[in-house]
Amino acid sequence: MSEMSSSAKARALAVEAQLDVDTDILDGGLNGHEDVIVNPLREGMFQAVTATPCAMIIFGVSGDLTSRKLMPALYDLAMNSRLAEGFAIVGVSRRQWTDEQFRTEMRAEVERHSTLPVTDDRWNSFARGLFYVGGNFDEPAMYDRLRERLDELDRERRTEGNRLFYLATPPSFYITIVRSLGSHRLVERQDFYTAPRSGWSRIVIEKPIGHDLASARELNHAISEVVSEGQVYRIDHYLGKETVQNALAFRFANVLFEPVWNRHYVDHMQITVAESLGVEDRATYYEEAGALRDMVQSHMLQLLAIVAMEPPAVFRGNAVRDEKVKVLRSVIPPSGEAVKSLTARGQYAAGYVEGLAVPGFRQEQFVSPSSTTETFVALKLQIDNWRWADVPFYLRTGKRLPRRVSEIAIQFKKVPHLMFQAAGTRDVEPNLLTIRIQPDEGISLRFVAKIPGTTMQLRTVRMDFAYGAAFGGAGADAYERLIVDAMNGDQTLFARRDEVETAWNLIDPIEQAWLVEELTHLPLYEAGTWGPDKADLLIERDGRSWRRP
Amino acid sequence: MPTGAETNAPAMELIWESKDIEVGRIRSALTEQWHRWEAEYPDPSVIEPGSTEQVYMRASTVNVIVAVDTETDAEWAEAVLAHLSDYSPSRLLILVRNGRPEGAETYTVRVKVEEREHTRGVAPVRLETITILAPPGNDQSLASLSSPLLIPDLPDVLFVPYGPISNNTLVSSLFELVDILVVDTIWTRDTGASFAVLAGNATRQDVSDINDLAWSRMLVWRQLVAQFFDQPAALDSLETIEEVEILFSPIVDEGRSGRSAALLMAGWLATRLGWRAPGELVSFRDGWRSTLRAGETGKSREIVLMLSEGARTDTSGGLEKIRLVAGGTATGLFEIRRISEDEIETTSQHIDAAPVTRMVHSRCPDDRFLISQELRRLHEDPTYTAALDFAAILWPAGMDS
Repeated sequence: MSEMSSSAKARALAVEAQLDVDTDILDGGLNGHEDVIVNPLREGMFQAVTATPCAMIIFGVSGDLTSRKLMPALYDLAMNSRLAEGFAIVGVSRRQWTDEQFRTEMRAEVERHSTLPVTDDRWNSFARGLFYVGGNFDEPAMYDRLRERLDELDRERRTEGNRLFYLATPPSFYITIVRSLGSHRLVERQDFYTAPRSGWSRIVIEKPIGHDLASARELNHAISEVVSEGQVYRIDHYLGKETVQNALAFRFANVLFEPVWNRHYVDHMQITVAESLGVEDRATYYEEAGALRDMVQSHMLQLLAIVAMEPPAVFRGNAVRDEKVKVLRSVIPPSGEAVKSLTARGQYAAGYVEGLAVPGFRQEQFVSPSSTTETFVALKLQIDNWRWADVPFYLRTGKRLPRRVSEIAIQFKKVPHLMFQAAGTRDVEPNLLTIRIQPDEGISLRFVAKIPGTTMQLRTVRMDFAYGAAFGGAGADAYERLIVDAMNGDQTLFARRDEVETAWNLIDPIEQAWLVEELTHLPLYEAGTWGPDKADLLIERDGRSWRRP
Repeated sequence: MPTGAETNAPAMELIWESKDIEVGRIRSALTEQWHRWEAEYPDPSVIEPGSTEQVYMRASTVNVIVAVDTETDAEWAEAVLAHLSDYSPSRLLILVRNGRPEGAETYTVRVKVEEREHTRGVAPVRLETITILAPPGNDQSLASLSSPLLIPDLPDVLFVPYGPISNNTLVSSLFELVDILVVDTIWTRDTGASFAVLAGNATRQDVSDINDLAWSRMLVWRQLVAQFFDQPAALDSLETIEEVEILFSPIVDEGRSGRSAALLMAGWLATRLGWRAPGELVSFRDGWRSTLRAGETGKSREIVLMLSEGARTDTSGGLEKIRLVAGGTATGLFEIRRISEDEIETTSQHIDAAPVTRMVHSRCPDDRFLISQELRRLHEDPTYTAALDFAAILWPAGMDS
C-alpha cells in the first residue's frame, strides 16, 4: 500500500466514480427467463444443456478465429446435438462467396480443426444450416440483404427471430457493425423486463475491447447506444476453461479453504501465464498491443478477480460479475514513479526454447527491427480491501518462456513457531496451493509430513488432484461452452462493461508511466528463460522469489 | 468416444482359497502386492530425485462393489471396470454369489493391484481389485465384507450388471450400505420384477440412489426429443400428441434387449407430460399397446402408445426409433431413428414450419463409457425415478413370461 501515492489513489477513485455501469444492468442481464421451464421435457436435463434455436451471424467469417475456433466448435456442438434442431449460421465477410463456396471453405477448416470426424453425410447435414452474405461492413445494402436472409431463415430453419451476432472481425470494425445493425433494425434494444422469449438479439465481441480506457469506453458507449448491456457478450475464452470455473467451485463449494483465504494466512499469490511460443501470426496486432494489453488487461486480471473476489450469492450473471468488479476496483493502480518498482517488462531475444533455436522478437516477420513492444511483463499488485490488505499479488506473463503454463499459486504464511527444531528441522516450507489451468489441469497442495522413521524428520509432500486422473479427460472446449451460454442468454462467464473498463483503469497508468521511460532501456531476455532480471528483482526485493512452475 | 485406460505394467495378483474370509489377510495381501509393485516398477516420471516434493499422492476416486452370480459374469465385470474409458475406481470389490460349486466349503479370494493411466502424462490411478467367489447360500456373509474392505471416505457404488435384482439377498443387503446402485436393466430377464424392486426402493429415503445404464444409454434420445419442442412453434404440439411409437432393439447377445429402455422412454414422456396409464400394456400385433390419458377428467384426451421390437441389432440394447404424432390444431410429426451405429437422424414437421431433417453423431455408447459417466456423476436423476414408476405400471412383474 505504501507504494501508492495519495494522488494516484485519489485519481483512481475519481476514475472509478466515472465507471458507473448502465442503469439497465439488472441482475442476470436478460437472463430472467432462464428460471421458467417452458418445455416440460427439459426438466431435470442438466447433463444435456442445448442451445436455444437461433441464427448465429459471424462477421469476419473468413478470418482465423472462425476457421480455427468458431466453426469447429459449432460443428462439434451440432454433431453432439447441443445445437437446436433449427440452427442457422450465417457468415458475413467481404469475400464474394456463394452459400456453396462458403460451405466448401468451411468444410476444409472443420476437417482440420474439429475433434469429431467429418463424413459426407454429417457434413451435408451440418452444412444445410450454413449460409453466406457477402459485402463490406460499412455497406448499407449488405445489411439489407442480411436482414432479408435472416427473415427467410426464420421460416426455413425455425430460428424464431433469435439472432446472435458474433463480431470476429478486427476491433476497428466493431462500432461500424454495431451501429449498422442498429440502424437496419437487425438488433433492437431489449431490456430485462421487456426482452421477448423469442426474437432476441445479442452481440458477442472478442477482446481486445479497446486499447486503453478511453477507447474501451468509446466502444462500450457506442454499443450501449444500440443495445442494452444485457445483450452484450464480451468473450474472454479463459473464463470458458474448466479449471478456471473449477477455481470458483474449489473456493466456494468447500468449507476448508475459504477460512484461510485471506491476509491472515496467505503470504502472497503468484499468477503465471507463460507461453513458449513467440508471436506467430499475430505480429502486427502484438506489435501494437504488447503483453500488458494483450494478456494482463484481460486474462490475468480475470484470474486475479476469481481468486480474490468475495463469494457471490449465486453462480449466475451479475452476482458473479458484481463481485469481480468489486475486487478489481479495490486493486491499487500502479502509477507514476511507483510503476518502476511495481512492474518489470522485457522483450525476448534469440535463444533456445524446448531444444530449438528461436529468433528474437525483433527478428520475427512483420515486427519492426527497432520494436519497443514488451513481450514479457511482471507486476506486483495490491488489493486495498479488508481481506487482502498487505498481501501482494505477483503477476507475470510472457512469450518465449521455457514452457507453456498457466497457474495460480497461493503461498501461505509460515507456521508462527516451529516446535521440531530440537529434532534437527530448522525450517519448513510453507503450504502452497497451486491451481493449474493448463497443462496438467488440477490442484495441488504442498504440506509438511513426517518422514517415516524413529526420528522427527520432516519433509514437504504434495497432494495432487489431477483432472485427468479424477475425471478423465478435460471437458468441453472453452468456445463450445461460451457459444452455448451466449445462445442461452447466460452472461456469467462473459465480461461486463464495468469489468473491462475497471481493468483498463489499472493498465492505463502503467502504459503512461512506461511511455516516459527511456525506451532504449527495454530489457531483453533470452528466449527460453523466465524473463528479464528486473522481474526477479521485483519480487526478490520483498524477500520472495518466483516459483518455477 | 475415448478408449479404455491403459495399464502401465502387468498387474500383480495373489490367489488363495480359505474356509473363512479373513479381512486382515486380504488387507495384508494388498499391502504386500504394492510393496512388490514399487520394487518392480519405480516410477521416475513421478518421483523426481532432485525435488523436495518426493512423495506423490495419487487421486482416490470411488469404491465399486460388483454383485454377480457367476465367475464368468465376474470376469466380464472386471474386464469392463478395470478398463473404463475415462474414470477408474480406486478399489473394486467383486462379490460372486455362485462362484464356487454347490456344497463347496471354501471361498476363493483373488487380490490384484495395478495402475491405470487415463490421460497420457497424468499420474495414473491405482486400482485394487478384490474378487471373492463364494459357494451358493452365502449372500449375507459376502455382504458383510463390504464395509471392512472398502476405502474409507470414498463414495461407494454398487453395480449389478446382470441382476437378478429381485429376490437377491446380496443386493438388498448391500443396497442400504452404498451411496448409489447402478443397474443395467437391458440384461434383466424379468423386467417387470426388477422395475418393481427398483421403483419400491427409489421411493425410500433410507436407501441409496439408483441409476440404470438403460436410462443413461437413452440420454441422447431424450435430448433430441426435447429439442423438437424447444421451438415455441412446436411447443403446442406437446398438448396434442395422439400417438407415440417406440421401436426397440431385439434380444441380442444372449439376453440384451431394448425393452426396458423403451418402457423408460414411455415413462419419461408420460411423467413429463402428465399422461396417465390405465394399467399394463396389452399385446397388439407384433408388439404392445396402451391408451394413455392426458388432461383433467371429463376433458381428457387419449394417447396411443405402441412399443415393438425393431430389427436392428447394432443398437446395444437401446432404441431404434421414436415417432410422435400430434393432431388437432397443432399437427406435427416428430421422428428420431438410428441410421447407423454412429448416427441418428431426426425429422420434424409441424403446421407452422417447414420440415427439418438433420443428422447427429451418436455412437451407441459402450458399457465402459456409460459406467465411467455414472462414476463421475454419482447421483440419481429424479426424472428417472418418475419414469421408472410409470414403466413399472406399464410392465408389471410377470409380463416377461
